[in-house]
Order: sequence, then structure tokens, then C-alpha cells
Amino acid sequence: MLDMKYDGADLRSKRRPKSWIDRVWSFFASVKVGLWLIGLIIVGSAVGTIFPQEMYIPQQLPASQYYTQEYGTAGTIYYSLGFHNLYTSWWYISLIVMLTLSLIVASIDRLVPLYKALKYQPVRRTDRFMRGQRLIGEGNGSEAQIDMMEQSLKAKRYRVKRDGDALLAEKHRFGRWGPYVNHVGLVIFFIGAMLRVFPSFHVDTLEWVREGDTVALEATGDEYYIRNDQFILEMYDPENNEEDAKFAEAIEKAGAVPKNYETELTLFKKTGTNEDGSPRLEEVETGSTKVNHPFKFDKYEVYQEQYSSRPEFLSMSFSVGDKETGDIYGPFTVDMNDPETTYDLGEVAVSLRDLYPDFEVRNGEPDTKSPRALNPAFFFTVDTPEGASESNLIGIRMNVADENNRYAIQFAGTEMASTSGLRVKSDSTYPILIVGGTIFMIGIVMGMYWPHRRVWIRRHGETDVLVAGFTNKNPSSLRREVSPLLEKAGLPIWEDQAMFEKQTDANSTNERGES
Amino acid sequence: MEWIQWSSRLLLIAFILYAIATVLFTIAVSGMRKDRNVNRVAYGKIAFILAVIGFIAQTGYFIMRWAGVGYAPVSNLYEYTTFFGMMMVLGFLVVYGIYKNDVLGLFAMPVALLVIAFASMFSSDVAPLIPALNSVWLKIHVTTAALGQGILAISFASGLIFLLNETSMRERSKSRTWLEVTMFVLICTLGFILVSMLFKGIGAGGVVEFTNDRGGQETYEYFMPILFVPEGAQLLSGASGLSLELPNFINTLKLNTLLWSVISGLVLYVLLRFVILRKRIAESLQPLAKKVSLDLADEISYRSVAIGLPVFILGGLIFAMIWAQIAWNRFWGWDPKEVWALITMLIYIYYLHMRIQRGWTGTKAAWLCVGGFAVIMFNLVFVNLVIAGLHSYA
Repeated sequence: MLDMKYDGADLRSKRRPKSWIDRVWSFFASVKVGLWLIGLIIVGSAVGTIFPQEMYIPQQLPASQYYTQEYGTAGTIYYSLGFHNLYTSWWYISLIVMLTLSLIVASIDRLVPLYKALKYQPVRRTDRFMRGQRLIGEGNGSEAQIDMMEQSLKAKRYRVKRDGDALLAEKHRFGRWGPYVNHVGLVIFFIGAMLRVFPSFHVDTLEWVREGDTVALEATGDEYYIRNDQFILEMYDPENNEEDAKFAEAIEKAGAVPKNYETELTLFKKTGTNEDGSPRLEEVETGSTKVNHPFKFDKYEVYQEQYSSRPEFLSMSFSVGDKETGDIYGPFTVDMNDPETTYDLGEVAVSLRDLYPDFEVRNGEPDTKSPRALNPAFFFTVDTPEGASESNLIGIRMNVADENNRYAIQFAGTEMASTSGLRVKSDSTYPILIVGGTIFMIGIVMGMYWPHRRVWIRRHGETDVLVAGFTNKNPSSLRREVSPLLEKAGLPIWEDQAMFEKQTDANSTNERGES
Repeated sequence: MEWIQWSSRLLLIAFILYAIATVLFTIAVSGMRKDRNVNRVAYGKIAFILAVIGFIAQTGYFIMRWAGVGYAPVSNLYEYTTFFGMMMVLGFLVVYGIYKNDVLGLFAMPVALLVIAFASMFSSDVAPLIPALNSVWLKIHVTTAALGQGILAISFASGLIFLLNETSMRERSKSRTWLEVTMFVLICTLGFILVSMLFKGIGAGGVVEFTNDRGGQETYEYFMPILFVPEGAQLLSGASGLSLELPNFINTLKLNTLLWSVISGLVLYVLLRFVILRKRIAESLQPLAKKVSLDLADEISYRSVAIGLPVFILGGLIFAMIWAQIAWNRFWGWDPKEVWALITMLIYIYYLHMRIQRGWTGTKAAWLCVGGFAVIMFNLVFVNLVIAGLHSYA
């Protein structure tokens, strides 16, 4: 049988190599090399899933220790071979780059000759050519029968060309371009993905915003500000919500299940600077961002990515009691963001000497674990009318003061707020990826769903007729489509020169050839 | 709850209809020596019609469960695997519509049956949907990906037919060995389903408590007789049985299930091979596979890949990337499920390109169809249960 892959076209890569450029060209144009690259990428990708990649391991431990501790010797080997960052390793990236080169070279190598071969194909083909096709029939026929065949093939939407008593019918030739179209799409997609290496193409920052706070968005170059109006964490509630009642059993087993994470927010644009140096903000819009529904503005997107499971204290209020008279002074409120040094309550004054937003005792001294107001403690002194100064260390369920103090500080109230972790992103490579992906998909569908089919009929002598058929996929479908037409016209019915039945014969005589 | 009950009933009806269809396909292919032509055609036709009715019943299951739970029922392993089985049947119906080949039914339907039975081993509880899954893309991405995988799975059935037809059973060869291994794996899956039902029915499991390697207390709930427990485990309930202690970085619960599947598979295999059939399983199936020409088997494989791969790429990669961008704000993150979807695509792309290469069609291509299905099942089962990742919704 004839090799009809590129319609017998002359490929540059198949010529005898002359220069090193020819050799490189032949290397990348080779399907075998492409298959090797795909195979290696398959194996490499699979190896990367044996243990989690570094980006997915818990952050408490450095990777150098984590893999050994969690997976023993295998983990140590995995880490030392660099498989914990496999997908950004030099060899994995090289494989992808080589595959891209292979896509480009192999496509050009074949597309141009194939295009020419199909564009200038003759209607009348040689005996050898026709007998080399998968479907071939031989017998008697007349010009009139071929004319009849022309009409019935046209009815099946074939484009028919005649050259005297020779006929060529063709359909879905454009399906042949599918592979090249999808390769172009893939190359565009890869280019888009590789552009992300350059920082100017995308910005990505995580902003922690407490309820009520307004923060500048670094990703926008501080052009935009966002205020967290409210953070909503909603759980499934089978007892009080009728719609959730059906989940009661599952929730009892698994524990509480979150239903919604959402931040209601207001977007501001900076229009200038006030006299005191603070930004002049103009409200743009209000909206919300929740999981699966990012908030979009300008070219940016705001994703609800995280939230703090512990709310923070916005402010705490206290009052001061006189143990001798029973009088109460205050209350006064300490704003956690903007605490004052002294709170004057008339008779007495309270000075804030120190503030620990996230209180702990370290080395016997009061200290703070983090700058976030999760567990605040305050070191106050009360300045009495007598001129004394009484010390108090006050925190949550903690009040350390001298017994002899005349004044005692008491909690009077708190104001708390949740904190939402918002991911702000902008990526100018998206359009490239979308275009690449779309072209890729179009190419795949073109190539897979439109099989190229050709039928040749040729008469030689007075009555001898040859009928041949070609398709790049599914010969039995071509047979089923055209055989009835041949029968109706009374032309010879073709037979399938099967590929494998012969191989099976060859197997039994133990001389399996690559036909 | 009414909806859910009806959906379960419909699923059972679909399962029974598929089973009957499988039997009829077998008769159509092998039996009825007398009046062969008449009966064969009739049996094949009835089998096809039953499969269609079964598919309609299963569609009913899908719609009613959707109504019952309030979201597209493809959110956990039970729902997804059931749907995947349904899409396999759909893929078969489409390809049968083109080729009208009963042998394909004989091989494709049992695999679909196995998949659906396997699905019922997972919890079918109605669970609330977590915010990450609450999106229109759940139905778009997951259903399209499953449809693509279902059609691709048909190439597994026809690939098997090709290999069973082509491999000589008289002499030793790699193909003969691996075919028998493939049969053994399928039998182990059946074994797993049977022992699970048996042990759940008689309550042969137990619960143990142990200290895990992070120092926390953990419990394992066994549904099968306990063969392995973690080091220093305390039995809370059930029978202890053999209870071999193993170092606790090994998940003994999963190992226990695996071992019972292999044991039951071995028992079934030995019964079939040495008592009932008295020859290799592959050899017993060979006469049935011989009824399809190698060229047709190869063409059906190729066609299912040609139809299924674009659907899979669209659903399993492109829609997946769009949703990942919306939900996780990155379209690609090298999560194990994503990587294995990429590998699935690459395997079939490898298959398509190797057909261009001389001498690589035929047996090698058929084995690749088997390998492709193995990757799909690996991504479904192991990536969810063994490799933890963002997609572990079991």
C-alpha cells in the first residue's frame, strides 16, 4: 500500500541532511522525536505527583526537613533530586521548550508540501497510485456510469473534478489543516504561558483587610483603595434553614460545613492628596467578592482567598473605679489602630504606657506574638489626684495590679472585626492564552470531526475501470458512504486492502514485516 | 428525600437493564448456532434497545438526584463515578450507532457495569456543597470531562478486542501475559465489590484507635475483617482477627481493603481459570473477540479517541482551567488531578501521533488504549483516595 501521509509530498526533513541546520531541522521535524518528548513529559509529570510539590506542603517546616520527616528515605531522595519543584526545573522546562520547537518545525515541514500537493493534485492518477490506496476496485464501466457517479457524489456534497473519463471527488479537505491549526494554537498558548515569567505581565498581591478598614491596593500601584464593609462567613444550618435540612445527617457526621465566604466591599479611586498628606479618595462602586465570584474592576480581579478564623479587636473600652468612694470614671476607648497616650477622665487620667496587640509572656516579660490585635493587653498607669501613679496590666481575663491601688481599671466593652484575605490580580497574558486555547480547540475539532475523503475513478481502454478511495480516518465509513453509490451506478465495488489481516498472516509464518 | 429514593430505584433499574443487555449481547455474539443470522440480529437489537432504556433510566436517576440534592450530582466519588459509568454507556451507544457491532457491547457494557457497581461502594449520603464547588462550572466542567472519559473508555473495550483477537494464546509473549494481568485487575475490581457487599452485610469490620506520626489520636473504621493495624492500635469495636501491626506511616486501612480485593480476586481467578473455564481468561474470550476483524477493532478504537479526546480536552482541561481561574485564581497549579488530566491528554495525543509513525499501529496502539483507560481510572481512584490534593472530594 502507498504511504499517503502527506500525499507523497517531498519533505525537507526527509532529504539527505547537508548542513547542521538540516540536521537540527530533521531532528525537530521527526515525529519519533516528538513522541519521545511527549513520553518523557508524561513520565516527568507523573513523578511530580508522587509527593506534594513544595508549594503545597505546610509552611511550618522547611522543605529540606519536611520531605525526610514525612516520607523517610524516599522523601530525602525526592528532595535532593529537586523533584519538590519539578515543574519549574530546568529539564522539565527544556522538554516543554523542545516540544514547542518540534511543533513549529514539524508543522512547517509538512504543511507547505502537503498544501501544494493537495492544491495541484491531478484528476487522473497512475495505476500504481490507485492500486496503492486502501480501497480499490477493478472491473467494467462506461463513461455514462461515471457521469452518473459524478451526480450521486455531488449529492453527497463531494466536490467533483473531471478530466475526460477520469474523476476525482473530494470532501472535507480542510480537515487536513486541523493538526496545523491546533499546533499554532498550542504554540500561542505556550508563548502566553512563558510571558508570565516577566513580572510586567502580571501582578498578584494578597491584601489582609479588616472590617471597616480601607487599604491601598499595591497591585494597582496604590491607585485604588478597598474598604472591607463586612466579612460574611455562613455555615450550613440544618436546624434553622429548611433548605439545609436534608444535609443534617452528613453534617452530624462531618461537623460544620461552610456555605459561603464573602466580603462586602467599597472601591475607591485616589484622585489626589489632601493637605495633611492623606490620599483623597473618591468612591467608585460597592460590591462583593466571594468564592467562585471574584469582584472585577478596571483590569483587576479581587478574589476571596482567605479569612482569619479569629476576629481582631478594633477597640476596647475601660472605666476606672474608685475603691474608696465607689465612683466610676470614664469609660474611655482605646482605638487599636490609633491609641492615645493619655485619656483624661477629669478627676483621674489614664496613661497608656505599652500596648501588646497579641499578648504573650516571653522570658518572663510581657511581649507580643504578632502585630495583629488578636489578644490585646495594655499597660496603663492611673495618675491620681494625689499625684501618685498606679500601674495596671490588663488583658483578656487578666488584671495584674497592686492590691493597695486606690483605683481599679475594668473592662467596659469591646468592638471586634473579621479580617479577610483578598487576592488582587491582573494578568495581561489572559487574552493570549484565550486566543491560543481557542485556536487549539478549533484545530482539534477540525482535524478530528472532518475526515478528508477522496474518490478516484479512471477508465482506460474501452471498458476497464479502476475505482480507488482514500481517507485519513475511518475507511469503513467511507466504504459505507460510497459503496452503495458505486453499486447503483453499476461500477465495480471496491474492497478494503486491510492493514492488519495481512499482518496476522505474516505473524503465523513468523515474518512480520512493517508494511 | 422522596427524590433521592426514586433516583436510587432508577439507578438500580438501569443497572439491571445493563446487566440483561450484556447477557443478550453475549448470546448475540456466541450462542444460537441454529438460525444464527436471525437470532443474532434480533438479540443484538434487543440488547441495544435495553441498553438505551437503561440509559434513560439512569438519566432519570441523575435528574432526580439533582432535584433532591439541589446541585449537579457530580460532587463526590459516588456521584462522579456513577456519572462516569453512565457516560461510558452513552459513549458505547454512540459508537454502536455507527458500527452496530455486538461484540463491542459484550466488552464495553461489563466494564460500565463494573464502574457503576464500584461507584456504589462509596458513600451515597446527601452532602452539602462547599463554597469552592458552588459554581455553574461544576456542571459544565465535570460533566464534559466525564463524557470525554466515557467515550475514551470505549477505545479500551475495542483495544481489548484487538489484543484478544491478535495475541496468540499458544506461545508465551508479553501481550499474552499482560492481557491476563488486565483480566486479573478487572476480576479484582469485581472481587472488591463482592467482598465489600458481603462484609458490610455481615458487619465483619471494626474500629481501632491509634497515635499517628504527628502525635494525634486517630481512628480507622474498617468495613472488612482487620488484617493490618497501625503500631500500638487499640481495638474499640469489632473482631480483631489477624491484626498484624505495621509502622504507622503506612495507611493500614487502605492496605487492608487492597489486600482483601486481591485475595477475593485471586479466589475468583483461580475458580474461573482452573475449575470453570480450565484455561486462561483471555483465551476463553478470544473466540468472541475473533468475531471482529482487527481492522474494525482498530478503527473503533481510533474513532472513539477521535470523538472522545476533543470532548475530554474541552471539559477536562479548558473548562477546568477557566474554573480554576475563577475559584482558585490560577488556571493551572500542578495539582495532582490537573497533572493526571494532562497525562491523560498526552497519552491519547501520543496514540494519535504514533499512528503516523510507521509500524507503530496495531498492537502497540491497542495497548496504549488500555493504558489510557488505566490512567483515567488512576486519576479517578488513586488521585482522590491516595494522593491528597485540591480535588479530594471523596
